[in-house]
Amino acid sequence: MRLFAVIKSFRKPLPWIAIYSLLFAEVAGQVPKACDYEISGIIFDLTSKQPLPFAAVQIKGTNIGTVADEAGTFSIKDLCENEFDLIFSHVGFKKLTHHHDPHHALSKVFLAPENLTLESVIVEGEVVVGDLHSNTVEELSGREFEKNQSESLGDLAANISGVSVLKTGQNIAKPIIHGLHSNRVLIINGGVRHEFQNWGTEHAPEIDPSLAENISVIKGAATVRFGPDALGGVLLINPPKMEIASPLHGEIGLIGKSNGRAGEGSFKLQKGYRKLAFLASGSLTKQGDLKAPDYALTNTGKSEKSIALGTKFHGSHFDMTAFYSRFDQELGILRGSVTGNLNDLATAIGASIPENTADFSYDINNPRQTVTHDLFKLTGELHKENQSFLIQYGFQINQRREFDVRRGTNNQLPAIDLELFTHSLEAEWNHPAWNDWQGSIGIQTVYQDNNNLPGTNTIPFIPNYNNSRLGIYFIESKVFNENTIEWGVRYDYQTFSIRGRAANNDLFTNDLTYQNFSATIGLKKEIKDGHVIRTNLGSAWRPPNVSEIYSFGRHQSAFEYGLWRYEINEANDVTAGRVLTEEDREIPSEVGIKWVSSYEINQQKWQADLTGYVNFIQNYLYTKPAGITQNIRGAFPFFIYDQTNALLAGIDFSSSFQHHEKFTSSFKASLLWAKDVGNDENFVGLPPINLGYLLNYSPQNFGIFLNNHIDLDLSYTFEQFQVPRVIGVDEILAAKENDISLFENNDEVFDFLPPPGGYFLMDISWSFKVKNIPGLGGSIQIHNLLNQSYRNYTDRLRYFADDVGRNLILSVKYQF
Amino acid sequence: MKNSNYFRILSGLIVLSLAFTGCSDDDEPPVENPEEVITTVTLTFTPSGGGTAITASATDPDGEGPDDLEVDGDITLDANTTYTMTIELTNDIENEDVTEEIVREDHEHMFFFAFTNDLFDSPTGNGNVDDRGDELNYNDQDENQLPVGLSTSWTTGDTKSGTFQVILKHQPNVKTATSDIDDGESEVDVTWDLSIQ
Repeated sequence: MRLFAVIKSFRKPLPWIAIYSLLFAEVAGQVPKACDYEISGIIFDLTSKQPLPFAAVQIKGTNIGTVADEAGTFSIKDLCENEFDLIFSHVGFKKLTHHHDPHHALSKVFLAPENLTLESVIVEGEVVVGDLHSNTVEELSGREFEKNQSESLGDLAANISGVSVLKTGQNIAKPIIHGLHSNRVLIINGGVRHEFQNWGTEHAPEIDPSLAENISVIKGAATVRFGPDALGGVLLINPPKMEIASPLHGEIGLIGKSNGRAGEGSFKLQKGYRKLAFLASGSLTKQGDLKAPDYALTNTGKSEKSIALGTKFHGSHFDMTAFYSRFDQELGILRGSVTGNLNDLATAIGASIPENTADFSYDINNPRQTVTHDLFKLTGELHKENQSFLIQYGFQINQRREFDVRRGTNNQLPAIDLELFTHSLEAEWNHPAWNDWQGSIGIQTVYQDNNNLPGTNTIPFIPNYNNSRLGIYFIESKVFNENTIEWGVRYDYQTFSIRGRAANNDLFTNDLTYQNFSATIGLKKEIKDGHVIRTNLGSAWRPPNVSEIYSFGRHQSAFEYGLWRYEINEANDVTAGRVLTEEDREIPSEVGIKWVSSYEINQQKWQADLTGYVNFIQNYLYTKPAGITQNIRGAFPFFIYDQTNALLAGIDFSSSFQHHEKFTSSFKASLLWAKDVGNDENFVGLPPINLGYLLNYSPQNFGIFLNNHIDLDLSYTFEQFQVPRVIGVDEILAAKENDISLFENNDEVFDFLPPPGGYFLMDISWSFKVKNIPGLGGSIQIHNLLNQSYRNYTDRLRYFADDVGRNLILSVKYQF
Repeated sequence: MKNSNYFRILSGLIVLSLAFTGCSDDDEPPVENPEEVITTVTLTFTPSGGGTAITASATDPDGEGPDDLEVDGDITLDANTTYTMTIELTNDIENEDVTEEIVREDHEHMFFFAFTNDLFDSPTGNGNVDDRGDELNYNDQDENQLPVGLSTSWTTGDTKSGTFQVILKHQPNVKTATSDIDDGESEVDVTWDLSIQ
């Protein structure tokens, strides 16, 4: 996270950074002697990231102060104290109180306009550590985050170019970064790797974005810093900061949505003392059945509860933070997506209105998921003049219960009931410069215990396992002229201890070890003022997941066999019965190498960011069709796991241009090309090309409303053209009936339906502050204004139902 | 070097964390009883005038494995005879009689039948899979007076042969007088060859 803070401070600072970047010890001015202490910095506008002239700076409790110059810079000299509270103020901007101590250079101060709910923020010391100067990082703008904060994490992240979303209906959304998702994307929540049942495409990360401060994406292979799995990229969730010496403040928000008749309430409270700070926040959501333009989406309600508590102690050489959060979800899944055998699937796909569609209800019936995630973390930071040390312990409990439509009393029992405990301990030393090389050495250990809880009346889909990992890394960087060069290496050692049950309840066990080296090298170059080039080449890896090794059984209308659960006999038939080991079939780790480069322009009136990438992944794990089986329930296709090589490449573009004092246009586009180069085939479910245009009109005054923002948001998603062959359900059934082996000579992946057509969506929104009532603001948004019927290619329920229709969203927020 | 003292903490932690890794799992997953699995379907045709009952069955010993189910022989019925057919479902892995469960939950279950057109004298036609309203002789009813199909009547005519398909649908909250093959999920879907001699 510190690393993250650093990149941010380098580029697009974020509110909470002030706290975490406390780590980056750097002396401001000199070691304090009698009254010669000096403090200086630059003040910026948080929204435009441009210098803000003539802001006032004052030392709290004194009359010592100054006013920034035209370029936003200020300095106060001849101070007798080196630790004090600073107050920054400017008309139309939120006042900021900041506790300064000599271990943190005060380089950039970002004042937030009053109409933003985001807080003003200070970014301290620009000591840059990590492999991330050269890595392309993109974050949501403050307004964009605020506007979409009530969405799921996956949907929210999809507002960043290059990120799309893998869905199972509206309630279950996972981020896809540059075409990769699940175990190939890492999620770092407040500095801790978010550990959950990431293997399932219908297992969304249990993180409530309404408690976060912002999110951003590292688009490169950041494995060296964050560990295995980051093949596609890293999604970073920044929790709210805890500011020392700040008055009691907070906010209360209420949101109502017409589609799903949903309501959401949230609060945040913060208070900072001289050495202590506290934070408490929570949110509550209830949503009923959603509606597509032409019909109700029965059983798509959800209910969510989340809470976060934090405290921070600030000493002169020592900071300590304790943080706890819990997210509790119950998510309904579209009833019409439940299918048994292939005939059922054909019926469900063919239904013009999803089966079992009923009137609106808040009830959540099967199929549904109940998921909880608890995170506790304790962070200690030591800092000296030219080095710092961080130690962090994290403890996570993830419980996941999935309820299917089942017979009899089993309907009350979860079909999947998993409990995952994760302990993580990590330490990082930011060493003093060695011959101008800045850098860090770190160690990360993880211990996980995954258990199936008894009482599901099903053979567990994945086995129990314990998993330990040790990673050690070095990251070094050096600045010369306008360039920053950096390199990093990492070694990981991981063990799995597996205990599972075969279909006949026989116990199987195995102990596995995986290890790997990763490396990164990169360059950041400032060509001229506001023009930056970054280029980074990084390797990443991940060991196979237990589900890829051991899964066995039915998943909706298909059977799936993990790499050690099937054999191919001499007659080329697939058999499954025996549980294999590494002696029967080796499963090498997935190893990727990703090159990502970007060109950024940051000017007064316009910003642009063009990113290109190429990602090659060896031993890419995927499923391919292997046959059709007929059992008592009817006919089912079955899929086996295999490995191939994958090549992905693409371009992201985002830009904004202020053409008039009150009008700004933004444009976003992302394009991905990918191929299974091992078999010369296409993959299923690649995000299609997407273009977005946003026009913002910001009249300052509007009757009793202040700081108005009116947005017109247009987007067009193309029909995906890189698709595998299509084999309809009827064709599979006919082949089975006529004893034709569809897959024996051609095991190319297939899709049951061709991709849905392209679609155009229009959203409008208006956000405002109320004059005369400081702190009160609100917004009105209409999503899918045209009530367009469409299906999203990366939504797994696209076979069964349209996406949601028009949605009117009203939100009120009061800040105090 | 004075600066290196944080490094000492780090090296200490590296040693400590080595001890942290490498625990093995001693939690064995529970033995689960997959009650919902049906491994065998048995049809018993009992002639109404007395005589030897004819049975036919289908088994799928590997459950969710890739092997096909085995239909144990064709069904051969006598011509010009009325039969009562009962269906028995068992889970041989657990030695469990699933039929009882269907009886307990008969308001959520219904059997549908499809057969070669005019294979029987009664019911005529080709069964109620294509059209719920088609003729079929159910002998049992659930609490809502809707047919279940664990017991049905069949009258054969002259010598004929064709196919005979049995489908069990689980229709929680959707079983009505008009709910059909498209409602709910399939729990059984097996086809036999049937000849009348």
